Amino acid sequence: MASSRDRRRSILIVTKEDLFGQGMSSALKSKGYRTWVATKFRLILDRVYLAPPDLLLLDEEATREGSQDIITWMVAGDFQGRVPLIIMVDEGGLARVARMRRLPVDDYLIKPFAQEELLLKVDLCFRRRERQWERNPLTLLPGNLRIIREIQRRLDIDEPFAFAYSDLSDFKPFNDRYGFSRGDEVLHMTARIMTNTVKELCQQRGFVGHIGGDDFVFSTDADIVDEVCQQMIERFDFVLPTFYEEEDRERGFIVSLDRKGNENRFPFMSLAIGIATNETRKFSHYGEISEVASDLKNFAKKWPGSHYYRDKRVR
Amino acid sequence: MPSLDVKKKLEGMAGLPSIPRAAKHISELATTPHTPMKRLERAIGSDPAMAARMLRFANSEIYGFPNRIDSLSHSLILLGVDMIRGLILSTRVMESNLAEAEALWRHSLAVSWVASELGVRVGLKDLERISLVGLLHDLGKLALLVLFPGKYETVARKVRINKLDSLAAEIEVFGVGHAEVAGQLCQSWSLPSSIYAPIVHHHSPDQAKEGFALAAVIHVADVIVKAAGVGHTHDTYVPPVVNDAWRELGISEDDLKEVVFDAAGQLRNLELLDPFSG
Repeated sequence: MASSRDRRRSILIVTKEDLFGQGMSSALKSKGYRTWVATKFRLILDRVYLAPPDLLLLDEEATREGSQDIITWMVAGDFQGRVPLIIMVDEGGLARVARMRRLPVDDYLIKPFAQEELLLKVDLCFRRRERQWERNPLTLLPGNLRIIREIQRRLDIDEPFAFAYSDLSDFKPFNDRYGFSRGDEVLHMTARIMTNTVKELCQQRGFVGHIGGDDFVFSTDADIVDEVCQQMIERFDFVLPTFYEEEDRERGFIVSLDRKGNENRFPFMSLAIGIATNETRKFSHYGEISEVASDLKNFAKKWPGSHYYRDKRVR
Repeated sequence: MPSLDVKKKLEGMAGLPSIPRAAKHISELATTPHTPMKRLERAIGSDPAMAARMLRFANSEIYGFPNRIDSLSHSLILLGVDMIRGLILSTRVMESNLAEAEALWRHSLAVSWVASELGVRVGLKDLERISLVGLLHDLGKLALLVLFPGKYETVARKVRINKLDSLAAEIEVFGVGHAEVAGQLCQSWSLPSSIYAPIVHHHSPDQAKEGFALAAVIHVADVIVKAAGVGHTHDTYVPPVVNDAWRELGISEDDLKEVVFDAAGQLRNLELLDPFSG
């Protein structure tokens, strides 16, 4: 799959004033952006769902037409990374922008504005995001830097939370048997199941990151992490067989090459999760908590099938 | 009318509309806090348009596994609650030809149910997929009805007056039949072949290169439901069953009598066919 850098950035403009929107659109197009103008959210929902824009330019009044849920969803979308939002207001609207709590607004433009100002704000918005939103190029989940920053932040505020390190057992023989692109499909599937489960059970307090390859991490409230892992494993095991061919599904294992290059039988992939929490022991650095969780993950791999293992030591 | 026009129209189509009752029921469930996922899944699985919508989005390019997901329950797990809710609330609702659409909807539900019964008898394993394909088998009809409401009247007239079956009448009017139309739709939505192959061949299971058994089960179920007179699909007489379908499925005449008898009884039970009545 192409990463976001390989294609031109797309900007969705939502405003009831069509002419105004078209004017902005042609200015942005002249700078190489792809744009699309909508007067009503409802008319373009399918397109928004199938291909979320890279930036949203929203007239303030569009937030009043019962579209808040969609806007919030789109802006918060975990998969494409958060979509930056620039809100356009009349001169008297600044106080209202300041009060907008539900919509994560990144910046504003006061109408009427000059073309140069529009182009500069858009450019700065993208540059800022590049700095802040490093992500895994395959799944678009937060990558290493953001993982470290997020977990360190949680350690520093010293509230109880759980940190989980996870990987797929028998991923390599699957890749050898089915090829990398099928392997990538499984990583996409894993990322979605992790994110959906964490989000459904922990809402905004949850976090999912993709370290690389088949290594993922996530973080949740400490009291709910068991439920999250159980659900995640149940869903993973339930959906996984779809990614195998029927003959393998029927016999329940695959034949692939082992590390020595010999043909061997391998079980279906499974999800291994190790969990460390700061409830009973103190961690001061990301490195520490991540090492403990990773060791526990390796422990969870000792049994066949998907398992999670939780740190119960006190120190 | 050349089939090219139909193809063009299909490409431009945003999605299939749900029947209002189904859409209302599903939206209510989706906006009620703590609705169990299984309950929502059952409701979505009772409306062909809504079920197809979920499959389409789960198989869309941006999620990274197009042409892969052939189960409604998998689709819902992969889409996640927020997305499911968004898709439900933004769905289109059928505005005209309601009577036609409702009759077609009943027919689809009945085929879905009878196909599952048959599937159990002939020992097919993936019952969820059988009932899903049964539900979706006439998507092409729904699409033609939505895109060309006036022309679809002509099909109905030809069936009545010229005694054609609906597929032949569609080919005369549109240059293409509903099975093929459904195939085009499914392909443009990146649905896997395990779903669209049996849909495309539900009138011609003998020509299915893939998924013969499922196509044959849907075919036989379709004929049984038409014979029982549930819902309607314009056909005023019962179409013949393709010979190989019987043989390959290994259904004995006694078996079949039993299924037809059971089905007739069950299908009369309107409760079953109207999951939104309560």
